[in-house]
Amino acid sequence: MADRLEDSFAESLIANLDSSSGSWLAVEEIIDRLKSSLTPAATKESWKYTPLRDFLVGFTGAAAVTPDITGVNQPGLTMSALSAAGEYARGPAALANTGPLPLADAALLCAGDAVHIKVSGEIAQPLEISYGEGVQVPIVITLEDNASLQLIERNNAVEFCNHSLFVELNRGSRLNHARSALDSNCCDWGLTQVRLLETTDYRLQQYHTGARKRRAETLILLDGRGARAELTGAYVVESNSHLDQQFIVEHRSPDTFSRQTFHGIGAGKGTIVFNGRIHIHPDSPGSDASLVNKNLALHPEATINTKPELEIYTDDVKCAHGATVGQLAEDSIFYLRSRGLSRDDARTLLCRAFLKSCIEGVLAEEVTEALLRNLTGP
Amino acid sequence: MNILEIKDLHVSVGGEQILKGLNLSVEQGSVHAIMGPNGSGKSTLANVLAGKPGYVIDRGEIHFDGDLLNDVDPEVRARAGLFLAFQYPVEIPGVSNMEFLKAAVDSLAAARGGEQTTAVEFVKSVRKIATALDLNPEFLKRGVNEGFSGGERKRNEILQLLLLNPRLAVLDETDSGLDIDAMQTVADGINRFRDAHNCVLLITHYQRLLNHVVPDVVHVLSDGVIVKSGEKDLAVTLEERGYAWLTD
Repeated sequence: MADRLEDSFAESLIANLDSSSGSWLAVEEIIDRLKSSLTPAATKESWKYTPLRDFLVGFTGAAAVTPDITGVNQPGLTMSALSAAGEYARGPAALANTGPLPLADAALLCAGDAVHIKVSGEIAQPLEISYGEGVQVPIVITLEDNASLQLIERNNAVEFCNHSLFVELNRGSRLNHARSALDSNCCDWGLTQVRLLETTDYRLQQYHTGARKRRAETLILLDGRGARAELTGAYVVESNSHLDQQFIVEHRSPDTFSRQTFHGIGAGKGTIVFNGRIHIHPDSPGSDASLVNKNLALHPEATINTKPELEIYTDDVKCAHGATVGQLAEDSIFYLRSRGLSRDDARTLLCRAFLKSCIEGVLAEEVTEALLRNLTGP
Repeated sequence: MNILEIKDLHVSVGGEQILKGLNLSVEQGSVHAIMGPNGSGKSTLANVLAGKPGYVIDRGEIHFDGDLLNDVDPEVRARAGLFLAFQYPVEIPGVSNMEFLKAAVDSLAAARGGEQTTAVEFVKSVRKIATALDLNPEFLKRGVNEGFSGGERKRNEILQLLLLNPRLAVLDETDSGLDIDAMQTVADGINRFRDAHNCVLLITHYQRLLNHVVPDVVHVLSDGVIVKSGEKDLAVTLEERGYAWLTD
């Protein structure tokens, strides 16, 4: 009974599909892939705490919606429809072997074409993408050699959202990527897949609250010598909320560099899932990777599942990882209270400090208050 | 007029009774020193006065400016004018000294119905005190006590004492771990604080600090009660003879 939805999903989606635009050639291939991959994916360990089927229920067959994109009318940016988007989803996600692929495939079926944004040169203003309700048309961003861009991504949906973003950084290009998802009612799933070629630089700042169900999958492919990825973020999960963040960093070339630093707070009787995987492939000497995930449990019934994973197949690499779950130090609270701060103010000050060390970049101001608001909730 | 009045105070920590009937009165304008051997209950007295969780009053009363303090929250005590200089001030990374001190000053001002100081006035007054205490004003940007040496932490406590200007200052072994120069600086700070309107309870192991901060009364605490009180000379006698003769 439990697996029936996954088994029958592809058929019912195809039967209900409104979209007639399917101009890309790989429809059949994607349907086959979806049929064969969904049930196996749903049973993988990475879906242990968040049932995959929760993210299928929003697929009504309605055509996917194009997200709001602003800042695209700038020199150096071009936007077009991309019929071969399925290609972007194929190789790398299959390689990661964690099953984000079927949900992206389902979105591709609803979308027909993806949106393709090409970036050349240094882009002056940020490119902003805002997701609304429902299945979103997947977005592919290609940064050409030596291009640079600030990307801001916001999830504004409050019911259901499925979004996927495929990024390719060509030689010498740089992407600074800030994103937030702060609605607490939504059921949303998002995939970000970033492929980095030689001497590229990718920075992600991710700020999430919990939601009815929220899962963010980030797949980083370090595919060229000297590629660097720095992922950082902060999150707060209130009562009856669920946040699942999956990070996979694949070091597939020599002298690649990655950092993951995430701080989160379980502020209520909600669930935090954090999975950070570092995978150093053969023939990738000089790889330098680290992962730090620290969690504060403010509520006695907060559930926090954090798991760092390390898989190394090359000698001569530097790797470090650590994951912790702790509580606010009572001595610190008492010290602050002894100077006149109320217990709540002391807690807020300490939580702010804890989160602040992982908050930076263009969204810093707007997310800090939003995250802290969730500490004191109703 | 007594600012602090303690009657028959019995306090236990983790089920073990530490204070066993302590009586003490500290009048406005005075400095009282509490001395005593290790384990006599000196720090317990400091912590119970500040309202530290886990310190249970089994019997007795603490009055502060006439009000019963037994069940009052630590922040309410602070706002009423009670200050504890910690023996081991904690490190709070990520919360800057500036942010912390401003929050403390503002919460006290709010409780006293006064106006909040502007950021500029605030920084001026903090920098002035910091300079007097030989603390580099750059410390304001650092996390609370983050990476501070023992001496810097103690001077930061005195800085807070001067900034918050309480009615009663309880100094819990503020002299421990200080070199001679730092001790003089800290003593100067305490002397600068003391006046006819406040009072000081100075908890110390050694007579050394009392050469710089001359107390009006010296008490000896032993096994949870005050076994002897006297004038400042008592500290000298204790330095020479130790504590054993008092309880033999």
